[in-house]
Amino acid sequence: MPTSYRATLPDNNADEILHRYVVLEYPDTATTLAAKAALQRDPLVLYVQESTFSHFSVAPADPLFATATKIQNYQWGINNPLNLKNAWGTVRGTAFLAQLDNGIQANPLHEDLGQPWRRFNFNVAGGTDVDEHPELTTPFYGVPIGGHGTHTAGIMAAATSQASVPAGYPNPSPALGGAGVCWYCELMIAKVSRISTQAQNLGQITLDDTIDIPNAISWAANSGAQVINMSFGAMPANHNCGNPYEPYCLALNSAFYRDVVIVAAVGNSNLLTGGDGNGLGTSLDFPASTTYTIAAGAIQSYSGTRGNLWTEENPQPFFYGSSTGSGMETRGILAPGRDVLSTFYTGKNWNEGDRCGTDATFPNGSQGTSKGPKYGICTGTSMAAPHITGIVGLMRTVNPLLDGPTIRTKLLSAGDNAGSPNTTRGFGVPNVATAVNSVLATTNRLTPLFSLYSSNAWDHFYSVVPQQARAAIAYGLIPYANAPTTYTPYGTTIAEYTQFPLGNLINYVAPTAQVWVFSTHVNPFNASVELMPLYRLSWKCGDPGTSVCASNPSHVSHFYTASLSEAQSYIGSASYAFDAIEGYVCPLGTAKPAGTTTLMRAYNASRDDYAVFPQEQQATMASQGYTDYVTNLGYVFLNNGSRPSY
Amino acid sequence: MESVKSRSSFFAYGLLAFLLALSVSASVSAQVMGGYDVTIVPSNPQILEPVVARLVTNASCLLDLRALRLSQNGAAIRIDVTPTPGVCQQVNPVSQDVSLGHFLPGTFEVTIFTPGSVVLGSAAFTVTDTYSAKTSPFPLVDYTDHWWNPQESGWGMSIHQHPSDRLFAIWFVYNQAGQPVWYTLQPGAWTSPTVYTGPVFKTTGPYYGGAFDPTQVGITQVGTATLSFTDSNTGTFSYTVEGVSGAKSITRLPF
Repeated sequence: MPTSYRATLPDNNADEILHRYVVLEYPDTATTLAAKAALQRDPLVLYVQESTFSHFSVAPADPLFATATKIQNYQWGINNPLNLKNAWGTVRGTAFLAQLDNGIQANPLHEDLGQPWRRFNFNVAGGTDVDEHPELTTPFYGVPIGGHGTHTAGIMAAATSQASVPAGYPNPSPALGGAGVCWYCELMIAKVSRISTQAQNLGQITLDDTIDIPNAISWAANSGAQVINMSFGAMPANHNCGNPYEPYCLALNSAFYRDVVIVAAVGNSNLLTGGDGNGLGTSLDFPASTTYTIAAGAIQSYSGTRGNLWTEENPQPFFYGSSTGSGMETRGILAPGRDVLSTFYTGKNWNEGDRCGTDATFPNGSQGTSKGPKYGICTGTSMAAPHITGIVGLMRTVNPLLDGPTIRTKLLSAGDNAGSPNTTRGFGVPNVATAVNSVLATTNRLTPLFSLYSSNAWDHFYSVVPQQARAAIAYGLIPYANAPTTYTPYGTTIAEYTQFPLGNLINYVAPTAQVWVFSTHVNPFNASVELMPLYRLSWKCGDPGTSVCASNPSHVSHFYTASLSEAQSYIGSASYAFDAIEGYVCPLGTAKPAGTTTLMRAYNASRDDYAVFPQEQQATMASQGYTDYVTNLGYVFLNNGSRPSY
Repeated sequence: MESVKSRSSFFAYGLLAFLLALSVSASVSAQVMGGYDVTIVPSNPQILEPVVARLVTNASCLLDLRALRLSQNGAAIRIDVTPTPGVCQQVNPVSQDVSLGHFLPGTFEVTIFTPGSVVLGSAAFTVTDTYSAKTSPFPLVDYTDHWWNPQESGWGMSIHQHPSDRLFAIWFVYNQAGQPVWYTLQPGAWTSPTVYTGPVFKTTGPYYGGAFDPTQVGITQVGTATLSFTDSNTGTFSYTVEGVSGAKSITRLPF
């Protein structure tokens, strides 16, 4: 723009202002943030902002994701209002999400739920069978009832495909069903409902919020969940969180202070909040009503009498619309909840009157979906909550060290009503790309790979997730060994993360790591080559195979690889199971980035144990017997105590 | 070793919490959970007296009785309900009455079933025979209904007959000025199983638009009347009210 022309522009002209910007480059995040702080103190500087990340919009290839004419025939909620497509360019999600629900379709496993590798199952009635078992409900309801849990699980983490994802990634082909919010997140399935076997209630589905739900919350927190989804509610009048011995509140409190984010549905009517179920709720169900949670309300795809807040035009008992009330203005957020298309228990319905099932039509004349019988629609705040849980999973993936309250604050701040949160809409509908970028601004995506060893399990264990490391320290790590097993951190401490959540309740051990890995797939050194996921697999005595169990029945073996095919071969031939993705490493076969070191893996046959370590530790590990099958996994950053830069 | 000790105490604490929870659960379950607490109203019904089953539940899936079905086979009365699909959540106890009908003397049992014949609750009741103890004439038909004369549509009579045989009737007509007026028949007596006779009253009181003051209510006997039924559906209403006598044919008002 010619200087002569600029001279004609007023100072507040947008073109003129944009001409006055100065771009500065710094070598790392820490220096950038320090420079930003200094510039903000300069009165001659009007505005300072560090670069945030923008990526091409990512559209999954899953057939139900693509826009269709009829709202019930595509994933309008995941496709559009949350701006997920722009978030997935940065993060696809690898967090641990606990789903407390009616179970899922586990037998046979639903075709679109194979992606979240479930070794993490819990049934409040005992065992690990988490199938919804609709066939058992017929005596009570007259028809088999099932699908609620399968539906919410799919919203969170259905197997998701994308054409440009490179080989070596979990990328189902052909693409099936729909997309999940958090593509590679680990679902921890807790079946919290019981199907009565007593003659007087045979087949009835119940939720015991005095014993079962607190047990499930405790299980999730003890087992290393980063987020808990609760698509159900109870009567607030039944729970007094001012009483320090109230079990439900105790469990919520414990999970909260173990840095687990809890997402709860606000309710669909006034049934649980003092009404008779024939009206909109004007206060929130429990536990959405507590300060431990993010309260999830529901939106619909169009504007009605309450804007896009879900409101039934022809309400049924207990099914009126998204509840509102105190708590929304401080912790409330909105997500799609009406006519949400997701995985469903094949051919079943949860509640036809409430338009929840696989039917193409429902009795009251409302439309169903033509995408059955493996997929169905459902409506309610139960469907809003898992959208939020998946989003929190994306955010915790970007920065696993960021504490839960900060995650919640950043999520709320990304809502479209964040400027004036109120008791009706809370903070509004979040822009997930904004939420993810706000977390991204707190990190350079490097995160410590916590290193731990169990002398009684003969097992090296590594995780980028503090909650998982804490679970390993405090006997909660899944798979459980055949005897109580604890792990001890080893390596170098981390200056910016000196204590695991609620460290005061366990023998104090500082978090330690030998290396830092990336939290998401984006490669800062080579935009055309994605970072490779570090797959975590596990095996324990009792699984098929013998190993060293004769001499150590408590043995557990964790195995790590950046090769999907190698992981699959260990699953197929050695009976290992997928646990999770534990961060990302720079791939071998590309130039070794400056400042990185080689991440290695070696095997100790006498312990049947694989160790993962930086090249600098190879001699030390060899002296401990880790000399077999030595291999390189990728390039990472050595932990010298503080955050590396690149 | 210290860690193991720590773990044990954790489990011990967990067990304590569990026991506390059990005690809470026990107090909750006393309110009925998962089914209906059924009571019969009145508890000791008399012959042909209306009987109601009062269903109380705190299970959300049992609140909606829109799809309820009633049937009877001998002494067995069956109520079929369709629970609302989904989780049965605990809510505040809700009471709903279901009319079962009028019964002859005997013992009956009412049972509530799910579509799959799971029993959700039951109660038994005995209907007593009070006819044999009566010494005065009493009606053998329940004349409770709205009555009118089809050729004189515009006035009518509402009769309510209690199981005790007492009768309360309202005659709503018009005065000489064409203004609405209503009279009540109470209390009277049955002179035969088909004839009832008694005084007629007219009442005055405060305007309904203001606060109701019971002291302003006045009741004045204005005559006598007789209801003579020729069968269960027709009869004659004879009256002498405020100096005027007459007789009208009446029949039940069909709906």
